[in-house]
Amino acid sequence: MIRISLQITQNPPQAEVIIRFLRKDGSWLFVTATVDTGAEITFLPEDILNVIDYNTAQTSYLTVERAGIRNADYKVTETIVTVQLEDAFGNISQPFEMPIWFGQTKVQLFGMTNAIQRGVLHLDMPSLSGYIELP
Amino acid sequence: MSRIRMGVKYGETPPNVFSDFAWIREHETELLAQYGECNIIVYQQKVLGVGHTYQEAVDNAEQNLPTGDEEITPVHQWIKNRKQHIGMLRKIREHQ
Repeated sequence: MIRISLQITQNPPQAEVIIRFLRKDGSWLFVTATVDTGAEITFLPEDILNVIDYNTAQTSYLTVERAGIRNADYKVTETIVTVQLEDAFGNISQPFEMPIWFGQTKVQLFGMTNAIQRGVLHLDMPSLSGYIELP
Repeated sequence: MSRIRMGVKYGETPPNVFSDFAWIREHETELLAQYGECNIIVYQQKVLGVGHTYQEAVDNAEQNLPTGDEEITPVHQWIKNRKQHIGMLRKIREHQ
């Protein structure tokens, strides 16, 4: 198991993880995302999709409806992406694939369901510490 | 040829990466006040570029490079007013 430390802040209270994405040119791009224990899937701005490598055969396009809000649907691209998690202490996970939604959004969310299935999430807000443990 | 290298080799982590992400997080309020919600390119705790899109921010950073010939490895971040986005986060969750 490898332990990836999270960046914890109390105002606002949140935990951030740094994700590496394989770019189309073979190098790796760093992106930060807020850990969201309630989200099943990671959700990121579609700008990122323009520079990273992903499998078009495993890509689909969805329209997400917002109940009760007229003309508020939004389109997302769902695809499988190779990522690594890394922390400031030099810990880095093995590359692994995870499904991600890309859309016209300003949020950068790391959906935990996929990661939790693979490992352990530990958050200690008072001491500003936290980590994800992955195989 | 651009001196900006937004990608790094497998296993490589330039020393500025984590300190620059931390600097953005610590100065988010001031950065929001100065630039508004935007994509931002930061290198060694200095803002090199801003833009509405990732590419606009990178292009803007090309105009503000530090002196010298060496390649630089800035970080990219979307800065946003987190409180305004809480409602949006909830809506996204509802659909997942």
